[in-house]
Amino acid sequence: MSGFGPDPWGSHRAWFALPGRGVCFTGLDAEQLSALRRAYPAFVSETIDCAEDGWGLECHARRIEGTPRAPLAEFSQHGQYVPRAIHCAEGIDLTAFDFRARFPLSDLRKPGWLGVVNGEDLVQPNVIENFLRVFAAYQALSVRGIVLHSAGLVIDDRAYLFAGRSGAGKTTLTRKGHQAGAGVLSDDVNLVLPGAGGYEAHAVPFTGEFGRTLAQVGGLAAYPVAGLVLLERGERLDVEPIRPSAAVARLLVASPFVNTESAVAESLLEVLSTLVARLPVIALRCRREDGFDEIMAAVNAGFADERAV
Amino acid sequence: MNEQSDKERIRLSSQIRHRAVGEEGVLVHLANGRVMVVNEVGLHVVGQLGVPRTRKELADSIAEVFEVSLDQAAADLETYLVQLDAEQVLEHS
Repeated sequence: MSGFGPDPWGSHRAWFALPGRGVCFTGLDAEQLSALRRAYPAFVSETIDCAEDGWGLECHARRIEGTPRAPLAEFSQHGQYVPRAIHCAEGIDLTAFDFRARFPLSDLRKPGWLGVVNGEDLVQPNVIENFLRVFAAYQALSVRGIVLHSAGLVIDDRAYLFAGRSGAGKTTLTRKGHQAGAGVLSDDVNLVLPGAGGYEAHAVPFTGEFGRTLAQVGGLAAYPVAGLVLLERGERLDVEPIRPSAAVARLLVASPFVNTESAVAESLLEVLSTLVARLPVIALRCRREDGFDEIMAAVNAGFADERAV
Repeated sequence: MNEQSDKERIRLSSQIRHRAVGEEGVLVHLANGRVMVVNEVGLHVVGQLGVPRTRKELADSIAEVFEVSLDQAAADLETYLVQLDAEQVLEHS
């Protein structure tokens, strides 16, 4: 492994234990390390030996000159903020509203970097979490998994993922689920990977607004996925079966960062087709006033019907 | 079909990726992120457009595969091409 990249903020490092492969941030100053430990206690460690092969990506925290800021409109896709990723010889070049980064795609023995103008920006959720989201999306796809814009709730040790665009009601549903005793994986972006017994949803550090303010399922917990729910607002509580092609199309829209990437779009289509073939997928319309128990009764009935088909 | 449209060759934009899912197809436009679902006839047309085709070649193919008259195939094809053009799925030469 190489040493610190050019223009580090300091000499500290922090290992983010992500499902699959983690990220070891090097070149941090003491304040950055402290802030990361406070914000992500279930995921950050300083004790991992980054020199070991196979643990993941070494990422140099870097000071960059000048502002990378560009108009926010340049980073909008389907109403969501999405950093711009471009394939380059070294991997993925990432330009966001307030940071730049690069990471290798396949050979993780090569280091990546994450650069900001001001040191305190590096530990802000919109920087560190967006970097991790994009990195996780590419890593997930490489093992036939996905990162999905969705609310992830855990009930009876099974994960229910509610995918939908902004305004579909993900955070509202997450709040209702939390109040009803469900575990919360994330109200924003969830990581789904194939496991030995089927697809699993994993706890991730990029939890969305809800996860940053309320207790979340921590560590490297993973839960079997009960099914996928395509969520939208409606005039009444209603569950419908959905054709596989329509399900793939809607999940494609909900697969940020990689869904318009020419080099991986076909892989993503294949992964989503497999996912839809193996998991129950239903469409759910609900109103703001619908109760969580009512919603879950409808969802479980929909899943049962799907399994029976 | 007029003489000009007979000579025109149509192909899928290089910005399109697609996949058959069941009997239907899912298309994604890489430049604008738009996603489309097409039925089995649309999927057949999209599959044919990996290389440049004339309208006649496409209509012949639809008529043969789906066992419809050539007139019916040509009419269906025009409907599909208008829809696909609206989504910037096609390139014409």
